[in-house]
Amino acid sequence: MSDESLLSLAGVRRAFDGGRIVALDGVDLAIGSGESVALVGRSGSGKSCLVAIATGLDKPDAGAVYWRGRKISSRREWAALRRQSIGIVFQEFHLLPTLTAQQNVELALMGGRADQAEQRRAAAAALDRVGLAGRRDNLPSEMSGGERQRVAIARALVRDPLILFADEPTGNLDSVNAEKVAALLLDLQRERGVSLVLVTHDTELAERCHRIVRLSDGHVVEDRRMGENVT
Amino acid sequence: MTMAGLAFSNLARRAARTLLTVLGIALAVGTAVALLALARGVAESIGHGLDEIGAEFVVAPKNATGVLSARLPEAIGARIAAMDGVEAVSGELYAFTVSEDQSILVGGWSRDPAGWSRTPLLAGRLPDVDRHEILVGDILAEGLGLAPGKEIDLFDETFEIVGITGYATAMNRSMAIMPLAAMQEAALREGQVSFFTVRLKAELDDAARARLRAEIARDLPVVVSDTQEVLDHDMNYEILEAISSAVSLVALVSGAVSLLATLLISVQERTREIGMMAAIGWSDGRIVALIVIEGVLIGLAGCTLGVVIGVLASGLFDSLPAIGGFISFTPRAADMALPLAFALPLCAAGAAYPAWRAVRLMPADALRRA
Repeated sequence: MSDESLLSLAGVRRAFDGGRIVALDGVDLAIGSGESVALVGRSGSGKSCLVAIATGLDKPDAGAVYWRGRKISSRREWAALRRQSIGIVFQEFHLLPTLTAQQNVELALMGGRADQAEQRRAAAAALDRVGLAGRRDNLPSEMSGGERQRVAIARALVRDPLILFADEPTGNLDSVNAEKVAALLLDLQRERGVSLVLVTHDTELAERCHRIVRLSDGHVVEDRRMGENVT
Repeated sequence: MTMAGLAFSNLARRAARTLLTVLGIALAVGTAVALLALARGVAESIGHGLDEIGAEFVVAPKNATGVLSARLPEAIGARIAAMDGVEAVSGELYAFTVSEDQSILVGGWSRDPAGWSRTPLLAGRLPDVDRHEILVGDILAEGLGLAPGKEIDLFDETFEIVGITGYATAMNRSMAIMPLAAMQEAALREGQVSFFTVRLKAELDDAARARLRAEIARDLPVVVSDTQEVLDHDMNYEILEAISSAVSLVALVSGAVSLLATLLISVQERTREIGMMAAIGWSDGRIVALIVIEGVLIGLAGCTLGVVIGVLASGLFDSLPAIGGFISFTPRAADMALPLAFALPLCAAGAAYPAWRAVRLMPADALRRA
C-alpha cells in the first residue's frame, strides 16, 4: 500500500443479502492528494457502496481502507476523519428542514474547536464560496434544488476537508443546475487542491476529471488518467 | 448554533407530539407532587394540631395500628402525672363520627381547668364537664350552620353547642371537642383514651426532659413521640405514605415511558437525518447527547408544568371541605424536589434507549432507510 496515497482501498469486498448480492469484490483503489477522480459505471455496479466504504459510512466484509497509509477501522476513527478531513455530498441533499442554510452549514462545525462566532463566520464564508451569500437565512423549502445542493456542498467544505466525495451530486437537478453544481465542484477542487471523488453517470462531466475509474459488477474494470488510452 | 438550540428545533418540528408528551410528564409530576404533599399534609396537620392544643409530646400505646383508633387505659394518665417534672397530662380520646352526612372528628379531653382555659373561643363558653355540652371548630360551625345554643347529634346522642373555637390549624378548626367522660360514654369507650398529651415543667433542662421521656417509655407499655412524629408509628399513615409513593412512582415511570415512545418514534423518523449527521463527522457520543438533550428538554418542560399542576391541584384539594377541612395542603420545596429528582433522570434514561438505537446502525444503512 503506497503511503503517497491520501486514501486507499485494498482488497475490499462487500456483499449483501447473506452474500447473494456482491457489491464490491476485491477492489483496490488509491486516491492521490489533489486529484479529481470520476467514478463511473452502470447502476448497481458498486459506485455508491465504494463511496460508503471509502468514507467509513459502511464496513467492508473483507479488505481494508487506509488513510495516509494507516488502516482505519473503528467508528470513532472514522467519525474523527469525516470531521477533520473528509467531506461528503449526496445526491439527496439531506438538509434539516427547520434550519436555515447558515444553520445547516454550522451543523458540520458543532462540537469542534470553533466557538459560535467562528462557526457563524466560517459557515457564512462557505456559503459565500458556493454563491449563496444572499440566501443564508433561507430555509431549504425556500430554495431551488440547485441551491440546496450548493448548501450541502458548503456544509461538506466548511471544515476544509482534504478529500471530497460527491455521490451523484447532480442526479436530482435539472441540466442548468447540474452544470452549475458540477462546475462549482471542479472549480473548488482546482482552487483549493482538494481531492475529489465524483460519482456520476455523465460522461462529459467524468471527462473533466483527472482520472476515470469504471466499476462493473463490483470490480474496477477501467482506471485511466485523462489523456491516457483506455486500459 | 448550540446543541440545546438544535434539540429545541428538532422538538419544535413535531410540536403537537412534543406538547402531548410534555403534558403526560406534567400530569405525572403533578400527581406525584400532590400525593406527596397530601401525605406530608396529613402528618403535619396532626402534629401542628397537637402543638396548638398545648401538647409537648404524646404518649400512645405500643403496637397501635392508628393513632386515632389506639386504646390506652385512662388510669395510666395518673401514673404519668405522678412523675416528678410533669406539669400536666391530658387523656384524649378521638374518633370520627357522622353527623348530617358529614364525617366529623370528635375529641374528648380530660383537661384540668387551666388546660381548658387555654382553649381559644370565638363565641360562647367552655363546656360543663358533667353535661352533654360541646365546642365546635369555626370551619365545622360554618359548614353545618352551627352556633352556641344549637344542638348536634353525635354517636346517636344529642349535644348542646356551647362555644365556637378559634384555632388556627385545619384539623382543630374542623373538630368537635367535649369533656373526656362524655366522649367515652358516647363512643362506648369508657376508661379508654387514644393517647395522652403531656407538658413538662418549664424549668426542666433538655437532659431532664429526655430522661423523663425515657422513663415513661421504660415503665409503661407506651411509645413517646414528639407531636410532629406522632404518625411515625401509625400504620394507616404508613399505608397512605406507601400508596402515595407507589402511585407517584408509577405516574413518573409512565411519564418516562411516554417520553421513550415519543423519542423512539422521533428517532425512527429521523434515521436518515442521523445518518447524515454521522456522515458530516458527528461522533456517536454527540448524536446520543443530542437525543438525550431532547429528552431532558421535554422532561424539564414537563416537570415545570407538573409543579404548577401539583400546586394548583393542592390548592383545589385544600378548598374541598372533605380534604381541606382536616389537612393543611401547602406543597413545599421537598414535595417538588423528590418527584423532580426522579423525573429528570427517568427522562434521561427514557431518551437513552432511542439514542442507542439511533447510533447502532452503520451510517450508510441509516442513509438508505426510507
